[in-house]
Amino acid sequence: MNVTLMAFGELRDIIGTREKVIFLEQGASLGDLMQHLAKEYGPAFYEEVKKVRGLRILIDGRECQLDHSETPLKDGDTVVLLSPISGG
Amino acid sequence: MGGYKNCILRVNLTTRKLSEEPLQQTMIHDYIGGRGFGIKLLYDNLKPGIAPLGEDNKLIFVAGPLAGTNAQSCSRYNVFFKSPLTNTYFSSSSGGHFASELKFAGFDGVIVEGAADKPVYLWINDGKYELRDAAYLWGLGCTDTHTLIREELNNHSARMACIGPAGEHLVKYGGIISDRRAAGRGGAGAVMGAKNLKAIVAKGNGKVEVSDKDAFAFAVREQIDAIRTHPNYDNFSLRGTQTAEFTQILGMFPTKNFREGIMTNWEKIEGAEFDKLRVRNTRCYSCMIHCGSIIKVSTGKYAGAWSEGPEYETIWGFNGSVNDPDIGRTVAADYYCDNMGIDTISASVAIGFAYELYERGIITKSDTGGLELVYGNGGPILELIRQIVYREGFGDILADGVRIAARKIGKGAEQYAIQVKGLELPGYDPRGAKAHGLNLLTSNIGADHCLGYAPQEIFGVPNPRPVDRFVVEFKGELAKINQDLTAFNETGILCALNTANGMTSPETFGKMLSTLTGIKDFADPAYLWLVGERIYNLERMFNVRDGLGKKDDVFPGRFSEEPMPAGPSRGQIFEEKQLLTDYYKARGWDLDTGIPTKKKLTELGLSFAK
Repeated sequence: MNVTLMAFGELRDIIGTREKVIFLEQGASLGDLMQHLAKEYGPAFYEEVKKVRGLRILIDGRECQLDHSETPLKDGDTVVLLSPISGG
Repeated sequence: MGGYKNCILRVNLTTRKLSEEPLQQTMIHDYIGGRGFGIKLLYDNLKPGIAPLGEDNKLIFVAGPLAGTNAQSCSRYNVFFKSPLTNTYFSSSSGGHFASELKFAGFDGVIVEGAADKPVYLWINDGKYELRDAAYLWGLGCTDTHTLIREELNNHSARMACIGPAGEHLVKYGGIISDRRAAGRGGAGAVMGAKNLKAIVAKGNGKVEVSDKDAFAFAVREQIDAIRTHPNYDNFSLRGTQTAEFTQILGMFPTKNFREGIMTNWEKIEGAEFDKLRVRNTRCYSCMIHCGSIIKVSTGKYAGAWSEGPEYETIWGFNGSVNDPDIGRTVAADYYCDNMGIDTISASVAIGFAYELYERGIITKSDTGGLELVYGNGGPILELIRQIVYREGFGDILADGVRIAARKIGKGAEQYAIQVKGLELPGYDPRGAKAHGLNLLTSNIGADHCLGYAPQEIFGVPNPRPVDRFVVEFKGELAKINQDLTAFNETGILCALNTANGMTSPETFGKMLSTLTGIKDFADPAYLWLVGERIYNLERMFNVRDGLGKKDDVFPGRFSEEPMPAGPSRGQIFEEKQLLTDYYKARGWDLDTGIPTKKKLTELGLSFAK
């Protein structure tokens, strides 16, 4: 299945792009996505992401916690990695 | 007692009588300051049913007790009045340097009443005051007004709150400008224009006394540490609110007059794009966050255009409303609106409304003076703003706000007027965040986000508990919490952005207020919550006294009848009936009328409010 990954703020520097489509096995979870990214960006990737203060993860617009690695993904999901931003 | 100057200046423009009044001690204790003083003074001084643009309306400018101190994000003023746009109580807030200067000049606030027979401005100079001729300033933009008044007074550090041509032409969402900060919403500028008052100017050499200097310094240090270590601080202090992606990723970035929740090509208006244009940051008096930015356009048709901003609402307004991601035009529009003294939210919603009417054939080129209003082409925006400011052509209709404009246009236009109580909605689609939407629906000033922002839904803040932004359970209670929190923080007057980001806790805020003033009760968060609820209910009773109630807490049908068509909020509607009932229950208000019960009013010390 295909999942779209989007990154904002300092997380974009880690990912190196605003948006990319990632192929995962059917039934993959958030943890599987993170492992995929660790393979692509190196083993330090996960540690770098965890260092981002106030990190937000949204799966199709819903908040999710990084340590909820079992959270299931489905084909067509958009996963957003977001460092804190403000609105007014 | 520290914090207060114990002096309100009352200015009667009709009689040209200027007089000083001390603060009432009971008002200080029961309402603390800022928004508390504003509603109490407005409720006591204004008769029910008065015309907002008539002589009977008053403009009450109030600086909070913390203004002029080194407490962070608190040197603001609010202006209180009956709004010509909504016919309700209104509170409009501005940062900048005017509030601190007013305190240094010796005053906690200014009550303006009556109307002058010719243009004047008020000069408050270190405890002295006078009305001066402003005929030569009438018609000028706010930038020139600041420059010429400073030259006339030979005082280049004087601060002011002034109006531009929009206020002079009684545009019902004309605002008040201080340097490049705005008390933009609700038409305070139109009320000022109706009174022939061009500006209030202040300069002083005084200082704000502190009751317990060591303890106050400790409390402020606590606040500074909390802000500096807050996860949002780094980004907020660089970009401010120039990050339109945060509502795009939630699918609640209102697009095409609130029909859709994601804009075409929205990557072109992200924070990263503004990073390329930022010249430097700017700040209000005593605010370490410095969320303002000077933005200068470097390429394209609008190369050379600059503004202090635009902030999120303006970016959304002039891009999302017309579905055109040209940020160069938005920067130019932002500067123009600030210079003309007009609210960018109401102006942009009015323009988006006109685009939808044009698309549906309700209006045509013969109505717009030849302008083609087609989504995806924001080209006509600047001309439409100019027509609104000067009440020319179709702009004259839009200048009264979308509620009145829709009534004048007819042909079913009312259903496309996106407003509550006459106030145009800001850049949040209520279908995507139910407590945030409830605040827009029930706010005492109409659909404004600043009086009860829901960071739990928008930023994922887990306090008082994590919430799912789509569910309705607990949202009535949550809207009340956010509204009461904002109300007591605005006694300070703590910036709504600081409040929304949760950067200053009630405990720290209470310590600052208590050690500044010497009033022990202010240190108790439970007391602050009580005052917040008291303020909110008295504001509601001001409106009730003028005939408002449940019938006015109503969204346009779009939000409850049309599911969000696409994106992360796809399929969502706003469950208006259920959410409103839950909110009234949480408030202790009558479920049939939306009016605070006698029991609730007595509990809050408001039994005088009928």
